[in-house]
Amino acid sequence: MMEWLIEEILAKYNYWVSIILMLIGFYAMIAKGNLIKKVIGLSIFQTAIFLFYISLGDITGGTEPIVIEGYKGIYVNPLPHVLILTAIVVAVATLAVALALVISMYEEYGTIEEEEIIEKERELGV
Amino acid sequence: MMLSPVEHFPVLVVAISMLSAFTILIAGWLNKKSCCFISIATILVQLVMSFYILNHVLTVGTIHYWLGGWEPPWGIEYLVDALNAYVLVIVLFLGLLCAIHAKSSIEHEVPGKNASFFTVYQLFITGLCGVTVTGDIFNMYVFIEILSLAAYALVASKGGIALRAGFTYLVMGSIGACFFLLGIGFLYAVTGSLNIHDLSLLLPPLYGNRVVQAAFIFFIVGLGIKMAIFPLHTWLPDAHPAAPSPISAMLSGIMIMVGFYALIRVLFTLYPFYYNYGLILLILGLLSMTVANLFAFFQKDLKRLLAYSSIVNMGIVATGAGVAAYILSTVAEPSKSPPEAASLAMAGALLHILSHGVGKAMVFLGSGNIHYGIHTRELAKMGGIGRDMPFTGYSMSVGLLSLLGLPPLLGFWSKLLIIMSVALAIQSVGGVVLITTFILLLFNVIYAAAYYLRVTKVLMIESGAVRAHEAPFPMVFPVVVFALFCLIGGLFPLSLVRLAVRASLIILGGG
Repeated sequence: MMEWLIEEILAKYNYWVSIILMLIGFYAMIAKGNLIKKVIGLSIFQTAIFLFYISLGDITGGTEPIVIEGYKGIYVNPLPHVLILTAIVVAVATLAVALALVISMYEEYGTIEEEEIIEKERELGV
Repeated sequence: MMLSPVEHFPVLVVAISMLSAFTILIAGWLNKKSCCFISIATILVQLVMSFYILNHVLTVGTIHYWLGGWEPPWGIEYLVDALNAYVLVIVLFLGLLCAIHAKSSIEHEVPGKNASFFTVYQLFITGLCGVTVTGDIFNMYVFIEILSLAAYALVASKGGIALRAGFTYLVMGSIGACFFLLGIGFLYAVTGSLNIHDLSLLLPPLYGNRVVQAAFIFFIVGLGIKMAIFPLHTWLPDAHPAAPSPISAMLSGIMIMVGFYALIRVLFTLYPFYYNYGLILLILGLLSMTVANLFAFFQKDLKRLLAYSSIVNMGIVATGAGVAAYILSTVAEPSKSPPEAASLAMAGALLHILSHGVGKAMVFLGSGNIHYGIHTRELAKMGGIGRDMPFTGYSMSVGLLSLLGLPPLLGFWSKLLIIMSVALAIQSVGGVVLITTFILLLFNVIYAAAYYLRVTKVLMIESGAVRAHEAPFPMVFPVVVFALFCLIGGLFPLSLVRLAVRASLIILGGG
C-alpha cells in the first residue's frame, strides 16, 4: 500500500496536481450559477493544462537551454514553455471575450446569476 | 530552395487575411462605409489564390511551405494537399458570398457596428483558412482558437438573448479546445514532435501505449464539441440562430465542417491502421442524425429548425467517415490502395461538406432576407412570403430541396455516394453494423424530407404573411448564386465527385 502510494501519487505529484485543478475548474463551470464564477472555473481549467505542459518540459538537474561551450550536462526542453506562452495569450483573449459578455449581460439584465437571467428572458417572452 | 509563386500562397492566404482584419479596424475610424469593401476585396483575392493552390495541388503536387525556412519537425510546416485545398476553396467561396450579404444585412441586424463586425469577421476567416492549410498540430489548435473566439463574439453581437447563447458557446468551446490541447500535450510527451506528418510516422509503434490512447479520446471529445456531434451538440441550437444571418450561414455551413476536417485529419493521418474509431464515429454520427431529426421536426422557428438540421448533416458526414474507417478496419492487412467502398464513403462525406455548406448557407441567408422583409423568424408568420420575394423564395426552395437530396441537385449526389458505399460494403464485408447503418441512414434521409418540404410549402404555397418587398441586391445576389451552384453542380457532378474522390484517397492513404 505504502509502496503504491509513493510510486503512483508522490512520484507523479505534478500530474495529480493538474488533474485536481482541472476537476475543480470543471466543477465550477458546471455547478456554479454565477457567471463570473464560471469564468473563474474556466481559467482554473486552462491553467491546470498549462501546468501539465510546464511540468512536462522540466528535467531534474537540467539547465536553461542556452548552449555553453564545454557544458556536458542536460538541458531543459524549452518548447513546451514556448507553446504555453502562446496558449496563455489564447487564454487571456478567451477571458477577455468572456468578461465582455458577462458585462453586457449585466447591463442588459442587471444580474449575473444564470437562473435569474433565464427567468428575465422568459418574462420578456423570448 | 526556390519556390514557385503559388507555393507561397498558403501562407499569404492567412497573412493577408489577418493584416486586412486590422486594416478594417483602422479604416472604420475614418470611413464606416469602406469596411465591407475591404473585407470583400480581401476575401476575393484569397479565393483567387485558393483556386491557384487547388490547381497547383492537382497538377503539380502537394505544397510544403516551411515557415522561416525551418525544416519540419523543428519548424512549422504548412502542408496543402488535395483535401486541404478543396476545403479551403469551400471556406472562401462561402466566406465571400456571406460577406456580400453582410454588406446590407448588418445595417439591418446589428446597426452601427459595421467596423467591428467586419474586423471580427475577417479574423474568423483567418482562423478558418489557418486550420485548413496548417500541417502542424499545435498551430492547428491556435487557429481553432482564433476562429472560435471570433465566432463567440459574432454569435453574441446582436445582444439580448444572443449574449447567453454566446456565453454558453464560449464555455463549451473552450472546454473542447482545452481537451484538444491536452491531447496534443500527451502526444508531445511520448513522441516529442508536433508536425502531423512526422507524428504519423512516430506513432504506429506506440498504439498500445495508454497515453496515446488517452490522447485519442481527448481529440474525439475536444473536436466533437467543436463540430457539435451528439451528445456534445447542446450549444449549437442556441448559438447558431442567435447570430446575425450571414454568421449563422458561416457557422452552420462551414465552421462545424472545418471542425470535422480537423478531426479526420487528426484521426486518419495520426492513427493510420488503428481504425477502431470507425465504430465510434459511426455510432456518434447515426445518433446525432436520428436525435436531431426528431427535434428538428417540431421547431417553429425557421433558424432553429435549420440549426438542428445542421446537426443532422454533421451526423451524415461523420457516418460517411465512420463507414470508411470501419471498412478499413475489416481489411486484414493494410495495403497501398484502400477498398473502393471506403474511398467512396469518404468521398461522399467530403462532397457532402460542399453540398451541405452551400445549401445551408443559402437557406440561412434566405432567412435573413425574410427577416429583412417581415421582421420575423417564426414559420407560422411566413406563409407565402416566397411569392412576395420571388428571388429569395425560389432560391431557398432550391436550397431546401438540395438539402433534402432531391435529384438532380447537388445534395442528391453526396447522399447517394454515402448510401451506395454502405450498400457496396454490405456486399463485400457484411455484418449487422453496416446493415443497421444502411437502414438508419435511409430512414433519416427520408424523414428529413418531412420538415424540408414543410418549410418549402410554407414559403411558396401557403398564405398569411404580411406583404413585403424583395431584399436589396447584395442580399439577393449570394442566395441566387448558391441556388445556381446547387443546380449546375447537380447537373454536372462528375468533376466535383472526381475531386472529392481524389481528396478522399489522400486522407485514406492511397494517394
